[in-house]
Amino acid sequence: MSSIKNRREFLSNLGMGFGGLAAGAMLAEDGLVKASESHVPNGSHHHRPRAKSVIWVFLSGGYSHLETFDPKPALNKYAGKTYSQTPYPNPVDSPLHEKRFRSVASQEINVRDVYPIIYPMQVGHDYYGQDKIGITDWWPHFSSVVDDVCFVRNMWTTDNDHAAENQIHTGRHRLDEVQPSVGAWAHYGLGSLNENLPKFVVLGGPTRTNTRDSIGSYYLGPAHAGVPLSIDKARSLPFGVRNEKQSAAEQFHEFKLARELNELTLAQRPGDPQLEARMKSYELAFSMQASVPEAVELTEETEETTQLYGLDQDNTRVAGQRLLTARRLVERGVRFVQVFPSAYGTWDSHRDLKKKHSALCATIDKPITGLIKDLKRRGLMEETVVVFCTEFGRTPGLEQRSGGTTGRDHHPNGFTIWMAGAGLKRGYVHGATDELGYHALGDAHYVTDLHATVLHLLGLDNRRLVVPGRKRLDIDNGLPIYDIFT
Amino acid sequence: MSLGIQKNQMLSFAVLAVAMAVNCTVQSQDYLTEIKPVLKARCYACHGALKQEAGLRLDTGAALRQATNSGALVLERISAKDEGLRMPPIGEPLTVEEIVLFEQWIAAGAATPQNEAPEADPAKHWAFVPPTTPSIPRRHESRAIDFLIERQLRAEKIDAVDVATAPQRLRRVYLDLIGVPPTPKELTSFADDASGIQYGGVIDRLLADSRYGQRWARHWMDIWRYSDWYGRRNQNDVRNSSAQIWMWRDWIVDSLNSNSGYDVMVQQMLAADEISSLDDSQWPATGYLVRNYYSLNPNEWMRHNVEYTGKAFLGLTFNCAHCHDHKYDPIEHDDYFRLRAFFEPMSIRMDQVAGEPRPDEFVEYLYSGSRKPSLLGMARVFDKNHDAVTHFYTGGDERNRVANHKTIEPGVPKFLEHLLPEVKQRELPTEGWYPGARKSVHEYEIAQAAEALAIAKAALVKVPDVDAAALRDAEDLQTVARIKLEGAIKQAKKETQGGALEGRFSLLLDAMKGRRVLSNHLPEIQELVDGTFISFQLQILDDGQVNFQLVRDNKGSLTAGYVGFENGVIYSYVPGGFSRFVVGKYDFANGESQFEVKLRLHPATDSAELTIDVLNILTPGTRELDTVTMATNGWNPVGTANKPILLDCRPGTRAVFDDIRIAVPSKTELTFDFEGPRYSEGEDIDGIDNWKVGLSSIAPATSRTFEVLDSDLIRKLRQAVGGANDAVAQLTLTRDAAIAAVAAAEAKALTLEAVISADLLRYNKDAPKEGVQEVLNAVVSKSLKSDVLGATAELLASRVVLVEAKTIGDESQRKSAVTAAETRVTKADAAVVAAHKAAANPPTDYQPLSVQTARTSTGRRSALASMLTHRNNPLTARVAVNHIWLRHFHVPLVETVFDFGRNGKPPTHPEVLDYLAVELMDSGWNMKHIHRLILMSDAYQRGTQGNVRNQKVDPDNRWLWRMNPGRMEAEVVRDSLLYIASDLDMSQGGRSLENTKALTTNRRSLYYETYPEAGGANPLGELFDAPNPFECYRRTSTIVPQQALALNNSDFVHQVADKTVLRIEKMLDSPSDTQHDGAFVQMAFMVVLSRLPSAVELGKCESFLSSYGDNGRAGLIRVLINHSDFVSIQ
Repeated sequence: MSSIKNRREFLSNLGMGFGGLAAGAMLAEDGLVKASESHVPNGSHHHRPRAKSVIWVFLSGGYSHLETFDPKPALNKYAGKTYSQTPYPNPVDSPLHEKRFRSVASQEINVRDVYPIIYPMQVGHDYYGQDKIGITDWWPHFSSVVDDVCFVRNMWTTDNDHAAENQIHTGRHRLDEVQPSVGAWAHYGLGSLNENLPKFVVLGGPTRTNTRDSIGSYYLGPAHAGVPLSIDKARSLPFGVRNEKQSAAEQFHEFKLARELNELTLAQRPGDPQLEARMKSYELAFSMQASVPEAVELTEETEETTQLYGLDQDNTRVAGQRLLTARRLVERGVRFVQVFPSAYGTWDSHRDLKKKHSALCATIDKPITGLIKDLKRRGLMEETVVVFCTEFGRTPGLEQRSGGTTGRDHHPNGFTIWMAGAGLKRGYVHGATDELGYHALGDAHYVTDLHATVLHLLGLDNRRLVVPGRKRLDIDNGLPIYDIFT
Repeated sequence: MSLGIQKNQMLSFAVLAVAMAVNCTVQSQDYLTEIKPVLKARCYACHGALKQEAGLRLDTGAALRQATNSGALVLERISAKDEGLRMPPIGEPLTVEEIVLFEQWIAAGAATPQNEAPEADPAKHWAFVPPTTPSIPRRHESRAIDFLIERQLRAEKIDAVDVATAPQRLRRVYLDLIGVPPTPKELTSFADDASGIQYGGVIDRLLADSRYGQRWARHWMDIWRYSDWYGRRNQNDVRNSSAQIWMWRDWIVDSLNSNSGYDVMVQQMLAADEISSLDDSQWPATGYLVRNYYSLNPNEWMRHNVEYTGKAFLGLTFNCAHCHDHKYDPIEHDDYFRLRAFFEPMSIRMDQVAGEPRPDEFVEYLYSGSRKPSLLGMARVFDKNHDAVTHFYTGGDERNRVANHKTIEPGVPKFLEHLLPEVKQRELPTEGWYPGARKSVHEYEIAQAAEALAIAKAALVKVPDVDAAALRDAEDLQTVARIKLEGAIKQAKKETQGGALEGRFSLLLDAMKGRRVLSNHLPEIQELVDGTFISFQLQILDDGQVNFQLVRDNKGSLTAGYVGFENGVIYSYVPGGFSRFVVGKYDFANGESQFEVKLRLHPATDSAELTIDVLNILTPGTRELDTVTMATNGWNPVGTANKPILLDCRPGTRAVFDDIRIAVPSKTELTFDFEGPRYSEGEDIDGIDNWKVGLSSIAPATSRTFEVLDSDLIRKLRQAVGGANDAVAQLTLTRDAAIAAVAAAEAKALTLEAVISADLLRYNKDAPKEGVQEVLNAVVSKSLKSDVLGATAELLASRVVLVEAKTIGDESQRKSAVTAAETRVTKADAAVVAAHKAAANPPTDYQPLSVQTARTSTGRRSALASMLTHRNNPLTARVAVNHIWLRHFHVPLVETVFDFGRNGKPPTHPEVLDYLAVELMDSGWNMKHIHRLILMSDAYQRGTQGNVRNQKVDPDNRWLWRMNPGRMEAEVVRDSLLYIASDLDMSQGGRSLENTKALTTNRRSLYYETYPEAGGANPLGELFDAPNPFECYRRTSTIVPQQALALNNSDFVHQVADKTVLRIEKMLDSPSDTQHDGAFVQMAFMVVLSRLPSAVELGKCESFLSSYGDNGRAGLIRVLINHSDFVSIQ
């Protein structure tokens, strides 16, 4: 009893940062579970961590795996033919097709057409790095760092609409009860450190409230949800700026008197942990008023660095600013930075895929390459994991809805993500889709495998992150992709 | 899965490796620390007191040794490579370290301590045994809580601290009961009282205060998962909960203020539709179930109903039994679905609220499209589908339905079964299944109808009389315009060949000289059936003789049936023969020249019904000329070219045919419209579309298509006629429309009356059964007539609008207004047609005043509710009083507030819990009684101050030697801030207010929106741990710096501070006080912190004010708001 008490006091005296005195976790710790059965986190790792921080870059809308990191020459060869006219088995007949389809029992909803006519790749490709990894020609910068990256080409999910954006973050289809997002689990699992920056920061999104679940914490409690920070330092934090009706001197005066009065009270109630915590929180508030804007202050960076991220060009500036801010945040000890380089649905290319993807790749190619190079030269690659992902791939078949002739539809059956950094193989490709890029093959990975992988790198076993009274289903408990670990 | 195998291999290697590395003996004390916890966590669920799978118990060492060959079997099974054999069967295998410890322990003889007790019988688990009043000596009966707590303190040798100061206690009880601090006046008068009697009086007063309901509703809203609608807020698309859910919130507030029993509240929330089916003030109670609604997946709704009912009322985690038998509690996998079966028949209905219009009907599962939040109506549950089947499935995934699983009937776990009454179907009173039968609906609708009538009458009075002279002039102009047009047309017809009837082209048979016969044998027609319909349009340009024939023998020139127009007379054959008879006449000289001829064929009776309408461009509207039975004499074109249709134009005649249609019901529909591109202008149609020139034709007659007549002159004259018509209409239309509106409103009111009295008659059990159908027929006919009048009135009204629209000066405005008005006219026109059609085909019953749902309810939910609130239910009262206790002491008696099962924590003070549970039930589930018992206790009134010795012995204050300090909830922070500035609006009830306005408006916080999406809490709420609307049995309470930032930097707090300064300055009596900083400081402390400052505090504050500058007083208020004691409850 007393050891728990001590820890509580310890944390209450120290942990007043963002989500600081995470009472959700504390309650679980103190009361809701018996210690012997509990895996409720106390901020310590389940195993030796390989990484300290995660930069999770999410491209909303579904980039085409075929026109990015999983090029398929067979598409060009059989362009215009239907699946049955190729030597490959028709992917629609595969049992995988049925298995990964999701609907409400007895009520099939939102069934999209399967487009039978093979649409050729809209861009050339080449092979890069020591192991000759194929990527498309739209990545002139990124192709130079392929040897630092680990591709996972056999991801799959089940939602064939954009609620898949929530699914890749929470692990559940929109027909099911939502779950905490991967960032929230990381935050929950590792607790908080004594720092005055949030531990789970979100940059640039989600730009639609219906994908807010992707940074949410659901039953873990609001203390574990992502904190959206604006990269505009004047409004980076709610109430983070002194009221214009008050001078700095006046505010200083008020803080001083408040502290003195609280001290007088403390003298009467010595050892009141709440009072001590609140006094401490006031000091932090004052410093936070300065530290958060400082963390997003990019003018401190050298010109060479800002150019590395593409801040000097219009089409790369937004992504560059967010990724550079992400680096500054992990440098300052933020655990999980979720970056949305572009708005909701940006990559969605039902039509004009060539035009859209070529322009969109150009907006992120240089900044993400800059991030990898920058992390590397600062030694941060040894403690940071970069995840680059999207909600699903795009159909190998030509989307023909409403007479379309220039795009691909949503494709949950197979897509590619990549990761780079601490604990991960470099210049490596894990898994594959079939020859036409339709199905993810082998021990293919549902999105929660990605969660398990990231949490594993942070020193957490997702199966041991449990909340009393909350049964997680099998699909929630992914398995780490052991193959990609060093 | 290959990974599983991989892992297994890893496992066996690792076991070996670790086993070799670990070199120690495992002793019996290690059993307690290392082995037993693992057995308990992973094995007892199936091999303990709850269940004995394979007849095996592992909850004592003795049993284990005896049944498993001294543990060998256990070791074998926990380290089995085959997943099918490995134990435990669910979840991860034991870790390598755990297995090695087992191996060591078993190798050392599986030693366990002597006299190890097996797991207790689950049925005897403390929370599953009904509470009884602990024995309390008579002299302590009035202070039972203190007696029980003090006895424990004595046993622990702990001395309680003193009672808190009077201001502390007063502030505490104010914040606890009504959610705002006491005013300085209330503080002063209370402080003067030393007797303690006044304290009880304060409690009574506050419990009777309507603010009590507002404060405590928010607590119960946490537990019962209150949430405003959500789904896709940014798209205004409701998926979860309901836009009317605020009525449930208001019902909670009202129920608490009127001190409804907790049992009654639970019953109403689960089954108000069944148990209070006549009391619509109770119906919002089922908002508890409506809140869980999820429009994308019915299973999700059911899951939430099951799981949250389990947690909120019973303190049982049914959710664990979603996938398998509960690991700790006697809840079987089946029990999950049995509980679900209580809810399975439910749906949601939108009932009309007293004094408001009828709402739209509730839309169930809608996967595409958007459900807009509606402001009208009350969302409530009812049993819709009595036969709804509850399916059993596995893995928590409804797609894994188990076929052939035995039928799931509503039920509860065995240990509660004896409390469940028989589930009996309930008859519902009329108002229950037919919300439109409610008096409030009648009153509202009658008042609306009367008001509409009054408005129509008043409008009619205001309509000016028609200006007779002007009307005459307008009519003269109209006549002139018509004559001009007719003249022009006549001229045109002479000059050219007349105008097309339909579309661009028509067929002209020109037999001014000669004769023209055209036939068509209709090869497309495969079968002639009863009701085959033939129609065509005919215009006679030069009257002579023209006819349409059904040919009996084409080669022999024999006619089976025909319609002939001959010099003003229409002929056909008498049924059953070939004799000609006159079916009608037409007045060609006076402009009757265009006709629509319709034939409905009845092959069985060898006859057709003939209808002819005159289509005359100068006379708007259609006049029926004839409806006659005529002969068809065996006409049937199927399979023969010898029985065609035929057009015959005799010498001296010119006639135009168009739009010849032959429709065989549900088979073929042929139309000859003579339009391009098949037909082109001026071309003889011989050879096109099977038209053939007949043998009887005589040259030079022709059968050619020709284009519409559309000269500039005629177009202009037509416009002039239209304008003249408008001018006449404009003079009379307004009045006609107003008269029609009155007639329609009258008819509507009468119909409403008729519907209501017919409703009363037919749905009244005692009413006579004879004559009901006559009454219904009369209502139907009244209602149909009313519909016709209503549609007509609307048509006229829309025409008025159209006429007005045409007079708008600005061109673009006029255009859009005219377009809108024309759309309205078209719609109204269609409605008139529909109303007439409906009147021609009267239904057997009239439209009721609302939806009518099933006339019985399954009785399932009320049975469940009575189980929950049964006097012998061991859980419900305990769970409830624990929640109340938590919200007074900031720490519950049972730490696991939603889990009273075997995996939950035991109560710190079981006797206090049981005492209060029994008091709750025996007082009629009177919650105010429980508040009073708790608040009057010394334990509650103690100070929060620490005590060095106690802190060592009982640092967590488990034994309640002091009061636990608390922190204001988010709502109390905001409310109190507004309250100290005298700016809090205490009014009750109403729709939820927007969070974006929470810091600029001043209603109590519980009236602002709560939902789980972004924006679901106001900005202060976000920082002060606003409730999680998914699940909040206990608020989190964080201390984060952002709270300080909000309380320092926000405009909200700056405004509060400014207003508080003004308020305090008003309170200070004399001008000298107003000027006097000391008096200000003292009053500021009273207002913000509910106490006076100490001398030191006073001094510091005075010097702060003197050195601050201009706005020091507001600064001081902010400082006090940021004092720890403002947001904390001491």
